[in-house]
Amino acid sequence: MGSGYITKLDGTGGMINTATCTEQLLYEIHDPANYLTPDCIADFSSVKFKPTEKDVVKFRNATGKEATETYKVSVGYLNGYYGEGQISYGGIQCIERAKLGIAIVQKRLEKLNFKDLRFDLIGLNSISPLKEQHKDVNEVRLRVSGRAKSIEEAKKIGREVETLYTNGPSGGGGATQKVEEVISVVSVLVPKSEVKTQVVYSKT
Amino acid sequence: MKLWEITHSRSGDKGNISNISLIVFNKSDYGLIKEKVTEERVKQWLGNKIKGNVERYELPQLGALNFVLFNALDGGVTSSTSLDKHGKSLSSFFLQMTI
Repeated sequence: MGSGYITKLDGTGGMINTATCTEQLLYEIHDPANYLTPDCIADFSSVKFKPTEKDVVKFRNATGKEATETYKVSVGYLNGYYGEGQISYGGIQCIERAKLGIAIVQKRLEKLNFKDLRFDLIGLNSISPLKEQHKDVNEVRLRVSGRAKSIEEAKKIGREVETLYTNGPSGGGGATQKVEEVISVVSVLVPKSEVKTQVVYSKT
Repeated sequence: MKLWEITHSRSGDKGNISNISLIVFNKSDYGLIKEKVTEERVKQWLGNKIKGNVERYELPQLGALNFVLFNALDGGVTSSTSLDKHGKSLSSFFLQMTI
């Protein structure tokens, strides 16, 4: 059974304790008993931690099974262009004005064919999956984002948001625009027998 | 009681799948979170954001639960148009859950 110590250099920040080790053990893990790696199927499900001194944690019961017959391969592909626009509203009824801004941009963009078009209010609902709370805010930032087939189409999102400066609710400020090429990744499994590896040394 | 009073949490991503650990500060609270924080409750709490199933794994010796949330990241970090593409903030919203 795998065992060892986790520690860090003296005089550096952070801390090594059971709490930080447990968070790291489960970070980006699905089934703790079956974590697929190229070398083995790691089994973290019975791992135990024991702090032995400050910033030293002993672990034991890490184990594993024989590796699978496949490698995970991440394939990148061109997935259009990302377009984004943002603008801020502040003061009295800022949320209402930002929502009006959303309605205007939504109408202006509705005949174009964007994928995953989103309208967010940063500070209110842009990352929160929960019901809206904290309605009494001083400022809010409107964000519109989506993907398009061409860079020219993607630019239209930011332009329609920036247009709110003079053709939208009062007091919109700090508009920004962004366009990026999108390279998405899809993960597939490839039989190990089809992957030949070799090491080549060369002088530069 | 809010989950943050007795637990800590961290979220991670793999493609369009999010996982969130939930770890008790005191082992004596493990039974409580195991009973109260079910797959159904987590799916309900995080709402429409989670389009797929929720699976829970139990690690009693660590006082931890690991939740795997399928179809939960608007397509995943390399194609999503949302602001928090990794779902890093989900652990904090999770800790606001009442039990």
